[in-house]
Amino acid sequence: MATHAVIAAFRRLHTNDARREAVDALLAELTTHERRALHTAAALCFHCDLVARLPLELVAHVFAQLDPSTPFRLQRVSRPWQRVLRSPHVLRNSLLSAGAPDLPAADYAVLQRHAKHLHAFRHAKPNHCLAIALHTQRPASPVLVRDTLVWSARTAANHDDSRVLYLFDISTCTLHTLHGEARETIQHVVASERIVAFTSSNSTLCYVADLQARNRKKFRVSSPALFQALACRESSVACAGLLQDHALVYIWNYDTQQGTSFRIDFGTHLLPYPRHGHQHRLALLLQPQHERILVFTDQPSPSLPSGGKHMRTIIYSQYTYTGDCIFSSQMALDHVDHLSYSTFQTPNNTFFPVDSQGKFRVMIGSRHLHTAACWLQFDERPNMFTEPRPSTHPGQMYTSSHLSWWNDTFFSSEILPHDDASSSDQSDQARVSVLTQLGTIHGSEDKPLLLFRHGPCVALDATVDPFAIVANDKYVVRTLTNSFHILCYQTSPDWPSLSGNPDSAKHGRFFDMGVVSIVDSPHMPHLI
Amino acid sequence: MAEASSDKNMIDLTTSDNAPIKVERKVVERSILIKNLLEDLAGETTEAIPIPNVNEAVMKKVLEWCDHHKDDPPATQDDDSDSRKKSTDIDEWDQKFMQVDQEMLFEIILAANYLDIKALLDVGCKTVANMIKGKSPDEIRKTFNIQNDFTPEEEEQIRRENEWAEDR
Repeated sequence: MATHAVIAAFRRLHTNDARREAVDALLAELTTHERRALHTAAALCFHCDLVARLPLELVAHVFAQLDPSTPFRLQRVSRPWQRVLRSPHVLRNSLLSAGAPDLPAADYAVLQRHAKHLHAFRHAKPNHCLAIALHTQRPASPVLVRDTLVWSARTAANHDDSRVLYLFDISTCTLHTLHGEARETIQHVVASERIVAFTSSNSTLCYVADLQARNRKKFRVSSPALFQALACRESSVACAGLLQDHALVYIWNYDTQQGTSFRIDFGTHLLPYPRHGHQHRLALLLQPQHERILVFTDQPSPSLPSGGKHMRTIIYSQYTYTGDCIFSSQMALDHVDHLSYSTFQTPNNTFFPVDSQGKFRVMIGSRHLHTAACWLQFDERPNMFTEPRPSTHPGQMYTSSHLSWWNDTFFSSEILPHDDASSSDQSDQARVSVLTQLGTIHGSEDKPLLLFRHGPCVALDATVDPFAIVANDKYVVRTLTNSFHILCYQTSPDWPSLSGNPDSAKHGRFFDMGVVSIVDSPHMPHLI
Repeated sequence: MAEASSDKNMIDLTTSDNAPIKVERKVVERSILIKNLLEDLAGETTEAIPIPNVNEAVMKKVLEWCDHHKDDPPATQDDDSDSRKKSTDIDEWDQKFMQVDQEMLFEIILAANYLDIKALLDVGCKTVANMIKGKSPDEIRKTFNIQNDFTPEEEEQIRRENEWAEDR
C-alpha cells in the first residue's frame, strides 16, 4: 500500500520540473545496491526495436542507405523484422536507391528476383559467360542496348571498312544484319532501346531501323557536316554540326518520319565566336520525353594556369526542339592535362547510359591515343557533370579510359604478361587480358571476372580500346581483337545444339561467323 | 503569454507534456511544419504554438540540433544525386549528437518526421542504418535486444530462402 501512495503522490506532480525534482530526491535516498539495480533495469529499457516500431516509410528510409541484399539477409531476426522486411515498400525503395529501375506495382517475388540479379551483378557473380570467337571479322564500335549487342564488322582484309551492322539478341540468341542501300562503309552507330541508327561514308544519309533490323527507314540532311554529332534515344535521332556561320541541329522521329531543325548562332553562350572545321566538335544528349536536347562543345579555358597546362572548359546548353535556349552551363576541366587534343571527336562523342535513371558517360580526349582519353559522367536530372566514383575518388570528375561502369559497379580491362609462358623472349611472350570488377560503393575489392590468354602473334591494340567494355544491368561485354565475351547476370542463354560436357564449357557454331562456347559460373574466372 | 511573444524573433512553443519552450525563430524554422505555420499566422502569434506529438526532452534535443544547423543552406529539391554517398558519411558533430540511447533515437526520428526536418530525419535514419550495417542476425538481436521468436526449423528455412544474400 505504501508503494501505491508514493506512486499516487508522484502522479500528482504536473510539471516536468517538479517530477525531475522528485526523482532527484528519491535517487538521493537509494542505497548503492538499489542504484545498481536501477541502472541495470534502465539500461535494458533504453533498447528499442527500431525496425519493428518505426513507421514503414521510415524503415524504408533506413534500408535505402544499405546494400539491397540486407533486408533479405535480416528477415530471420524475428517475426516483426520478417514482416517489415518483406514489405514491397521497403524493398522497392532499397532497390531504387541502389540504382534499379522503379518497380511501382511489383510484388515480393518480383522484387526478390530484382534484388538477386542486382546482388549477382554487384558481387561479380555472373550466371554464364558466352565466348564468341569470330573467324575473320574484327568487331568495331560495340553498343549494348537492353538485350541487344550491336557492332559493325571490319573484315580481316580491310580493317577500316565496315559495311555490315550486326544486331545480336543475347537473350534469344538471334542475329540480324543491317546495311546501307549501296553497302556503304558504316561511319557512326548509335542505338536506343527501340532503334539503331547509322551514318555512312561521304553521304548525307542516315539509316534507322528497329532492333530486329526491320523497317529500315532513312533521312537525309543538307550537309555531311551535320553528322559531326549523332545521338539516339527512344524513337528519336538527332544530329548536329558546325557550319560556316552557325551551328545546325536536326531532330528526326522514327515513328512519324518527321524532322525539325534549329540553328545556334555564333555569339551565343554555347558558341561565343565563329568557328568550324575539325578543331571544334559537338556532342548531343537527346531528352525526347520533354522535347529537349542538350548541345555540348568545348573551348580553351580563358586563363592558362601557371605551368602552361592546356585547360579546357566544356560548355553546354539545353534547347527546346524549336531552338529556345532553356539554360546554359559549363565545367572547367582541370587536373586533366592531356586535353590539348580536341574533345568530342566523331564518332566518340556519343553519350552512353550508365544507369536507368539518367546518368551517361561520354569520352573526351584523343580518338587515336587512348591513354590520352578519359570518361566523364553526366547526370541529366540536375543536368550537370558528376563525379563517377565519389566514394573512392572524391572530387575527381573523370575516370581513365580503360574503365567502364554501370551504376556504381566498375570494370577495368587490362593486359598482363602471362606467368607460365614458356618463352622468355618479351616479344614472344603470351599475354593475358584481364577483366576485373572493381567493386561498388559498399566496398572496393578487385575481383577478376575473365582471363583471356593471347597467343604471341595476336595484335593487342584492340584490348585497350576504351570502348572494349560495354555494360548494363544484365550483361557485361568485352570485345577483343576477334572475339566477344558476354557475361550474363540475369538470363541464361539457351544456345541451340551445343555439344560438350555439361560440367565445363559447351561449344557450338556462331552462325556462319565463328564459334561460341558457354562457360558456367563455377568455372569462372576462366582462362579461355 | 501575450507578453512573452512581444519579441518577434522569439517563438513560444508548448510541448506534449505542457512544458513551455522559448526559441529563436530562425532556429525553429528548420522545421518546415512550424515555418509554414508561422507564415500562415503572419505575425499574429500571440499564443504559444502547441506541439502535441513531441515531449519536452525530445523537443529540447531537436532544437539543439536546429540551433547548430540554423545557418545551413536550405535543402535542395533534388538531394537524390547524393544518394550514392550513402550512410558512411555523417557529419562529426551530428555523429556525436546522435550518441543517445535507442529510445531517444527513436523519438528523435519520429519528431524529425513529424516536424518535417528532412536533414535531421536523414541523420537519424543513417544512424540506424550504421547500427545495422554489416551485422549478422544474431548481432542485430543483441544490438536491439530482440527475442528470436522463430523455431530453429523456421529460422533455417528463412535462412535457406535468402542464402544468396549472405555471400559477399
